[in-house]
Amino acid sequence: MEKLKDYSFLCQPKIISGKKSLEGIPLELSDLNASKPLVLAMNNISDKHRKTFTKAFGDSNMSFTLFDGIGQYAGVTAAREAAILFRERGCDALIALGDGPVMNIAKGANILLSMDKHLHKLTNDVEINQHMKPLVYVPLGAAMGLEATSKADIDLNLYDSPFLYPDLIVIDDRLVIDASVEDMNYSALMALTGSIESSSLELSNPMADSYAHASLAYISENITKGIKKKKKNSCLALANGAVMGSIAYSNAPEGIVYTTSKAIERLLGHSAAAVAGLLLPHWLELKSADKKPVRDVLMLALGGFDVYSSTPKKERPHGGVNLLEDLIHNMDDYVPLDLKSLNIPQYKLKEIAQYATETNSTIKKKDILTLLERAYDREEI
Amino acid sequence: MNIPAYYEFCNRVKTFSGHKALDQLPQILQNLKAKKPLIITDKGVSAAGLITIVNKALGTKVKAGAIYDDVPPDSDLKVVNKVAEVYKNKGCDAIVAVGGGSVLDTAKGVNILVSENADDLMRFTGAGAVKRKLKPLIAIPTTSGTGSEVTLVAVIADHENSLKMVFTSIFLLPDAAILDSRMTKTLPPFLTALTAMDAMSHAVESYICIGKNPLSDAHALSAIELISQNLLNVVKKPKDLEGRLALANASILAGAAFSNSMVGMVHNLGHATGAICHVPHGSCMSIFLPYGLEYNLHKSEKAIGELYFALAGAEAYNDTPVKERPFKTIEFLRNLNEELHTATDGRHSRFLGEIFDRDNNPMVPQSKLKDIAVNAMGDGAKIYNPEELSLEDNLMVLQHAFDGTPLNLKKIKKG
Amino acid sequence: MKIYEEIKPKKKPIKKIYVAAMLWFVGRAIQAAAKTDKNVKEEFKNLRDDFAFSLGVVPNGPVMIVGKTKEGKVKYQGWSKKGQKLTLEMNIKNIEAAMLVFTFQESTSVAFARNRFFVTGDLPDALAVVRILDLVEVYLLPKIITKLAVKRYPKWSELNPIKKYVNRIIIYVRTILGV
Repeated sequence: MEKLKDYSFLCQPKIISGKKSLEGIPLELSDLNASKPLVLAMNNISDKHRKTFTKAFGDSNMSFTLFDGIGQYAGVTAAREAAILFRERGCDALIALGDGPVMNIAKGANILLSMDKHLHKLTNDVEINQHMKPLVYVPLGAAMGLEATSKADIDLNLYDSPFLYPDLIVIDDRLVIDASVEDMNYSALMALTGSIESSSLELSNPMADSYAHASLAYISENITKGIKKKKKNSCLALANGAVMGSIAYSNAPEGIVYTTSKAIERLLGHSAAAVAGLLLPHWLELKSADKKPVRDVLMLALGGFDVYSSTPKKERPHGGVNLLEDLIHNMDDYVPLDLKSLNIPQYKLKEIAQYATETNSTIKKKDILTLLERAYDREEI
Repeated sequence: MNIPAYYEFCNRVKTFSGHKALDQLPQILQNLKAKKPLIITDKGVSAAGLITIVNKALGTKVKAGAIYDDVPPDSDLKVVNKVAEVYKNKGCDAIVAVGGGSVLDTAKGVNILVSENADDLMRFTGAGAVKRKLKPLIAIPTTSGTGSEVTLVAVIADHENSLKMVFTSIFLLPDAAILDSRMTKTLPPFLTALTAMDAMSHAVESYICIGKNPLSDAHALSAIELISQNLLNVVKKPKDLEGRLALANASILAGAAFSNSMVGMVHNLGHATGAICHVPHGSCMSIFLPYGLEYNLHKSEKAIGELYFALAGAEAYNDTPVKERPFKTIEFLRNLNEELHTATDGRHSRFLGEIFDRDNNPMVPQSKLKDIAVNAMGDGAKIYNPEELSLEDNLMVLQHAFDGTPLNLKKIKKG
Repeated sequence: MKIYEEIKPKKKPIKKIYVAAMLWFVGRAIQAAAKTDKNVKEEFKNLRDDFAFSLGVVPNGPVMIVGKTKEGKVKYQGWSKKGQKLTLEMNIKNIEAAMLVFTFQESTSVAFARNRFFVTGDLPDALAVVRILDLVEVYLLPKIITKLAVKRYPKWSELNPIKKYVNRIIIYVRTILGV
């Protein structure tokens, strides 16, 4: 029986998922005392998504302004443009129709709008106070991990405040089915990372565990059906898994895998999700070898009641690691074999470790380096 | 894990848990921009010295605007009005509720009045009638528990007019809940058992009823595991602080679960029994719990079987053939009631016919069963129960619950 | 500089007409059933004298209203809330949710569990209305569809099929003629 540690936990967003959930948005907005949303979307939003979303507002007496000017690398400029449009049109709520950059820009716009009168340039030290407009997040199946959290990544600056959480997350089965195979894989990998790191022994608490457990269960049960067969239910489950993983994660300090993956992304341009998929099992193996036990609940979440309970107690921690490795194996096309295969020279590892500790001082450089070295060359293990 | 075709989940109460979690109270108040909280509590909590701990935690940084410690065991409209007056007269700007379900519900009622600047609570009854953010409310439960610290419901009785007012709104949710093991350390064994079985019933019903969803399921399973592993220990050793903290966590997890997935027959019949015969809620829950599972067995067999994992552990689950697991779950809960009965020297009741009041009078006479059955027809929990419940069905279950005999599964009408 | 459009989503007339038709039918059927079936009669007898409920879709309808008259009769009272003293409002949150209910993709209980409804007024009254709707659906619909709408198909109707079919005819006639 694990002892409970001291913790604090918050899940700010209300989550709505499933059939005709989009149609609930107008009434939910009026519960938030809003009636004129600004909807933000990527500049390449599909017609199908546009139509489905618009139809959902049919007969609701609610119209909306669509700001579909967000590009892949959108930053402060886009946030300002959205905020200005918001004020011009007298809007009173924000809906992010999309993942990643869309949600980052929505949060950025919300920060700008919370500042009185003039729309200042967004800087690192901006004080984020509580006058935030209601924010709704509508995933499209390509979540990258920060959307449901208190964080926003804008122009490589990370903003973090509990006031940045969305108020509502609407996961509609019609919208999450069209993400690309690549996006769905990356989304699953980030969710796995978030869930597993947040529920590691040092950080566990029963509330975060609930979200992490649900996230891991959904991803492990649906990764093949969702990504390969694009079954509606499976895509819905994966999108749910992504949201739950990031909620678990938003209550834990940033872990070593996430920090290191992000560092590699920033320095060298490789997908953080792909790198996380590589590093995660290595990290767990290192923990197991180090006699810091991997929690056996990992096996429970990934394997289910029957697999878990039919495995001898001593073997459960490693059983969980094995199940994770099998799961990531299903995403082989998107996870590199090792760091060497990404053409990262060995001497770069120290630089990566240094950069990573600068972004997250709670993690020891030595530990990051050990992880990187283990993941460097598969043949050497 | 099945993905439901549709579900909603919301638990935006910030939870703080730890053996000294209360020490964070001043910071929590500061983050909510509150400087002069009103402490609402009851005499029992006060007498147990718990308010002293709260005041100590507030320290010199924050001074309570006022303390109202006369909330009755059953939340009452007159008291709500009175407390609201105190809040206004003392210029308070936040509420800290320290107590069980009645205190928490009272605090929510007070919050409606003071935030809306109203004097008629009736205007806000029903679902969604409270439409905007209320004053900061911090819940510090002293039982484990009703889960009221994370529910968006408040029930206030208007005893004068024999009415029960129900308020449902997301804005009733407290801003924060503090689980500190010192707050339940002095809860007597009998009440520990009752309140923990209340939490158990929340978790179990949430797992098998038609509103179940992945997050409520995960919360419920955690709660059940924590109760199962800790309840008897804590009843026998009340000063087990680890156990107390575990039960407090179980209560809040179960509260979050049922608040989002709703409950069914156990609460349906339990509310009615409480309304007609004034039996404590926890007693009703423990008694009806195995019956709720028996009655719904044909509809929720798989889920009931899975509960055995959380109740008895992985090894016992593995050793039990799949088809037997649901029956083992029911047996486990009946045994738990038996063990609690023994551990509380007979105070924890196992069936309706053995509930007595302080003067040794039976609280649920046979003659009242029909009234309870009729009352249950008007309770909302019915809707979420997997199987339909008619008046005859209620009577059948009540009779068995009265006698302490299991249901005859063949006599259950299946839909 | 790009102009970002304000989008005014269209209405859904066909779905509204369908739901309106269903509501009209159900409303009139409740009126008819209250005269024909003793269980429905009993349910209404136990409700307050000024009981009147609306069942409909927000924000723009359609709606149906049924209430008790001063003489104690149960009457379908039209499709407008204006000027009505309602003691209970059962609101479906949007037209798509109403379609799910009225095409029997979601039973009444499931719809409640999924928060498709919100209710203003006394909850016991709402439960009585759900029971009444269940009873009326047994009469109005073939078993294969009613089973999708209710939690448990009532045994009495299978034990006494003649009663069910006879009452069904009477209720249909009364519904259409409004008597």
